[in-house]
Amino acid sequence: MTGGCGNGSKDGVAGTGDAASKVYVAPGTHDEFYAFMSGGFSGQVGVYGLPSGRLLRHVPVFSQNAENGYGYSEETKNLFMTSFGFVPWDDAHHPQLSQTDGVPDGRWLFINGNNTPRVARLDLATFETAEIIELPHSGGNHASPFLTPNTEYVLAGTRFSVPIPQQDVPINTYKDNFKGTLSFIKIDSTSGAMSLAFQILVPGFNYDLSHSGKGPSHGWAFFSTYNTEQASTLLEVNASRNDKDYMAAVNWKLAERYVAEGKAKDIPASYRHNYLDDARIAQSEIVKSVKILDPRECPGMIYYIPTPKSPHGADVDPTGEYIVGGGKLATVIPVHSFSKMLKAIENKEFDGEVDGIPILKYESVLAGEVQNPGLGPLHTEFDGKGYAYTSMFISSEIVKWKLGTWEVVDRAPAYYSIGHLMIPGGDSRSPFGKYVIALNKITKDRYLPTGPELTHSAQLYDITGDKMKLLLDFPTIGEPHYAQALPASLVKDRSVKYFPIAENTHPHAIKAENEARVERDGRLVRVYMSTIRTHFAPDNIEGIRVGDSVLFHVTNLEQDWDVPHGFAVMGANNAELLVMPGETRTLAWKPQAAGVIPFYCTDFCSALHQEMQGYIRVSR
Amino acid sequence: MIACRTRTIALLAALAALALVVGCSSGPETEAERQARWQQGQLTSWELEHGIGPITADVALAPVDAAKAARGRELFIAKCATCHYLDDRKTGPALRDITTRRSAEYVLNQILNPEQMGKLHPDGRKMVAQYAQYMTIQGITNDNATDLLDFLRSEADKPPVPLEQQPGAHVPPPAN
Ligand SMILES: [Cu+2]
Repeated sequence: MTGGCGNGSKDGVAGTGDAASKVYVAPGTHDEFYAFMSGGFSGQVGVYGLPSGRLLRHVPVFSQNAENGYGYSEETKNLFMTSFGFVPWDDAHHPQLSQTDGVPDGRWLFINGNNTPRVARLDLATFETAEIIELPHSGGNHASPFLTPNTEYVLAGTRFSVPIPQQDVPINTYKDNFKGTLSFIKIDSTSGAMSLAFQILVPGFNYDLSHSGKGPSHGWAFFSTYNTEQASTLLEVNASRNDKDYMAAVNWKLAERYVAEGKAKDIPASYRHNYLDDARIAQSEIVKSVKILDPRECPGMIYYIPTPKSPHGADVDPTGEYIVGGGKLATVIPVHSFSKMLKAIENKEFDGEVDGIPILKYESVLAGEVQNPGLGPLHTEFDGKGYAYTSMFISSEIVKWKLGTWEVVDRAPAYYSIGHLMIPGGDSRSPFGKYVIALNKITKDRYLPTGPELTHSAQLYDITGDKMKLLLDFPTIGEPHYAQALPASLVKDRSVKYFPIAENTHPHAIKAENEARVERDGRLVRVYMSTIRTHFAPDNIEGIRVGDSVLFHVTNLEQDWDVPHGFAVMGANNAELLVMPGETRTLAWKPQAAGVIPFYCTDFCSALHQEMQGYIRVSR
Repeated sequence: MIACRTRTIALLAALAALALVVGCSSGPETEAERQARWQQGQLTSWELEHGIGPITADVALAPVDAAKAARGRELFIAKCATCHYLDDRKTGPALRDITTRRSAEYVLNQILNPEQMGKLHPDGRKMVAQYAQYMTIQGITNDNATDLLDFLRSEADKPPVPLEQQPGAHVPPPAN
């Protein structure tokens, strides 16, 4: 039954029973989509099933994770190396799924470290961080990491402009001394390996978000900017003066050509490139220079499109024709036309320039404006059926509008303060549709209270009909800035179940239990240890002395799915380990006093798990 | 009610007996039908004796092949000795005389299909109860399993040896 006054009572959930059945995924059955949500200030990635909203995995990326020793074990520490040294946390904002032909392909997930500028690559066969590259000449890596349609490049724009190269200057010389960069990280199409191909030096604005063109606009990328006033103090006032900021339109194919022609200068830099090698051990390399293009020497490479006002999103529709700006402080949602932009460039319909970058005339590029959309338009995704969905931060709602006519056709409240939103594949050439998810900053009264800090949340709406229907809200980890989702079938069949022990090339792996041993080299003691249900070998270790440095190289000899073993040593000053089947992980330990120290398996692996323990005797 | 189908080889007699209980249709039993029957705990007398898994018929046993037994020994050290000695109890039972206590087919099924043997076979269930643990899956292939079988056959008649001489045994280092 549909009619009746009991319907749609609670927060617009039309028919609660109906909504429940739409998100119900029966025990033992699988969700239709994987959703990857940024952890924001947790630095991590949350993996959820849709439509159930079930948390499937918490993948550590930019922050140490005691649960499995990520960032503590000797094999993973190097992932946190930067030009500033060991930086074991960050603020992760925008997950981006690798794409082939403009559609998510399920191979990798990229995400930005915002604070200490970095980009990470997660391998979706193992759901672990495989690589992290640092970006020089950057401050606040926010317009990042946005992909080109065949994952040719990861793009990354600086939120904070800084002196380039860094130097000691008065902050109020911002306009003269501060610059931004747009970084182009090349992705190896087979391995996914990242390398910083080049950077474009740009005026010292704040570069906020980005998306690449596709279809007709393939070869271009768009970056929203704010603080085109170039203020360095009290930005809430001083960076909100201009009626319009800019969308930067970058012809990256042309930039690539300029680099090939030798127009880029090699500029000294120092940044880290960290990656898991074939033995699954993180290596960290220092890179000493980067190629930089100056727009003044590269005509046609970059243009500015005026865009009201302090835009956030820079979102390209599935056809590649429309570029939607999310003007946070604007009263309209401006939509630019790619084809009109090309014509305006051809006809030189310019309105001045900044540092050699021509400014196009707003009206010459404008496709249309969505009038009275609400307050604080932030970010837009697309359903592939001709509609766009824009999050409205201030008025806390999702607004659905039609591409081409720019009319608002539906709106639905969000609880509360929606930031980004996400439709599975909703920034791709071919959205998978079905749902839109609101990523909310504030939950207030939505859940049982948990003290002063409450969870952030995601809300799931059905978008298969004319009207959005709220189905579910579920808590998220940290702050979900942005998310991406794709059909589970693109990922699940490639999922690694265990690491074949015969292929373990870790230099301190053991392949059988009778290789377990203790080796001393001066004050360094290496314990070659194995685990299997339900014992360690060795489980009695003697001969360790105060002042030794002990490395426990723990190899899990299991060859079965979902059978990690843990390893924890009493009083160890870093984390414990969680060792996947067929993998070797190393815990460093310095015994502090004579005595006998217990260790045990922390992962309930079997009925005799409580028996999975041992002792280390420490002598003077 | 389950369907069974006539089969060749050694299962004929067993299935004839089963047919009395469950009725019969023609054609070989499909893998799905077999799995469904196992899940319902309906094991044939052949399966009760020889186990359930990829081995579903008598295996013709050649004399022990020394080369296979040698490969099997290496595999035993890598894959089995984590939990089994030949002459002492470890995580699981001692294995020296296993091929005299159990048929070759049973041993192969136990190696190749440890999870179902532990859950669905009455003798396997008894072992799980006794050792409080399912035998771990070690990803052993059919060829490797017959190597292991020949290694175990080659050891069956030899006298017991001290722990440190048993293949793959991890012997704790002396205190220093
Ligand atoms: Cu364990």
